[in-house]
Amino acid sequence: MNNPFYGKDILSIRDLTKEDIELVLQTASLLKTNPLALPPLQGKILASLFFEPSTRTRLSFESAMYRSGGKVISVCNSQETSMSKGESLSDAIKVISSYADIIVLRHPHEGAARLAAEAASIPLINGGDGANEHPSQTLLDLFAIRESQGDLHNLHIAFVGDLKHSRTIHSLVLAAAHYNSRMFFVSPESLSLPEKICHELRSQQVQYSFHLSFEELLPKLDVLYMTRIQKERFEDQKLYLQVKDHYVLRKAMLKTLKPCFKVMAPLPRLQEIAVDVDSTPHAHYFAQAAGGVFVRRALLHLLLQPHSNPEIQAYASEKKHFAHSSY
Amino acid sequence: MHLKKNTLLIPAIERGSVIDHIPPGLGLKIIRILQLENPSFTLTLAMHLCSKRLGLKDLIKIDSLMLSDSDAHKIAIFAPHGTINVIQNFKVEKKIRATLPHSIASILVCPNKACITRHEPCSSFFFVKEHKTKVYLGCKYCQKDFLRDEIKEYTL
Repeated sequence: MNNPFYGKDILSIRDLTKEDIELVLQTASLLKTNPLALPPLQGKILASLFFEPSTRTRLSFESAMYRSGGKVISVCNSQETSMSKGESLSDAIKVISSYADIIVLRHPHEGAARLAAEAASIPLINGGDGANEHPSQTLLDLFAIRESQGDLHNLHIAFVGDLKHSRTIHSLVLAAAHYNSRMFFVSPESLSLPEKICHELRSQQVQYSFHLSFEELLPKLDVLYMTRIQKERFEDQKLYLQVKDHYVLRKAMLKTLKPCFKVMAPLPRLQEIAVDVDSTPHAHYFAQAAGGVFVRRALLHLLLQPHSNPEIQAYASEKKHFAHSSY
Repeated sequence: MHLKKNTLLIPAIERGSVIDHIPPGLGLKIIRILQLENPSFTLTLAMHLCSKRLGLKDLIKIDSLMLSDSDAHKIAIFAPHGTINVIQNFKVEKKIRATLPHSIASILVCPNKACITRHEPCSSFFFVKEHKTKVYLGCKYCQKDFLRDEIKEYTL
């Protein structure tokens, strides 16, 4: 089996087929089951370029590279680079391509990852470009959903918060469309899901609806995906103050629920999930973040190793049989 | 009052190109898009002429410059019914209809202020999509779609 990821970039969830997503998730599952299952990425270097604040994405990519046997060089403050002297992103990426084998880039401007990938001579992973996309977060979200629900198909998922600016939501909604999810979008009207994404969902005949509150939806749901209202995405801070405390999930709301019901969030958490939810069996957001290392290890292996490893093939085949036998 | 006898207003050219059926008021934009401001061209712009098809139209005549199919692509986004008549010996030698290209590079500025193309020295790139009667331009970089009229700036 050829590895379709080898040497490619991961820029948008739109670039990935359902089969591509399955390969990443199966590879991540394999690495979770056996962290030493794949040949190490010895001698490989990850350039970790974060021009916008990040904790989980940056550290989990760097952890993933170290755990897979590679090394990391990093930038986490654009003021420390020659870009503060006016160097273009494209020029910086051309140079960095000769220092590393793979790049992960976070940048405040939308489309930065695609522009950088055009300049790069090595694979590039979009670690978040403004309010546009964050595909590796989506893959770890799908991984967490599958780990907690057993299957990604036919789930009822509610997305709550800033659906207009959340790149995490944009990417996850498009990916979940592959799995016949029933989607509930909960936001103030001013922060609703962009029409372009709604159009894409309609074209895939995805069932969805809009809501102003989420409490009445809870009994129907398999997954409640909470996002914070992102202060940094608002040009008008008055609007931010109007909506910032709009949605708060509290333990007292978690009464009549499906047994498998899980709360997920891309983190960081501000006030949208009360701390008392953490102790319930429904809180899955910390496990979700922890799974990010396996997913990012999977991406690094797939992008840097030319042939699909026999272990991945065997694992995928075994999982396929398992999936069939479970129906 | 709109002038009715268009042909009397604009002198015929022996050799060159005539861009016809430009929506009224967009003639200057077309001149900029085709970079015809170069003083080496003798050029006539007529605005707000009567047109059976458009009601009103703009028209451009360029002396001694033969426009091409690729020029017709460039103007199509602003003049979807535009035609380029290539003139030889005062006669129309070739008529090129404006057809929407699949993509447009460099000319348009992405209206999304957060798009990387507004912050880096790089060319814009839009995919052209038609849906029902509307033409959308999708930025290759920020992945946002815009109606033609939402694009107010262009790099010329």
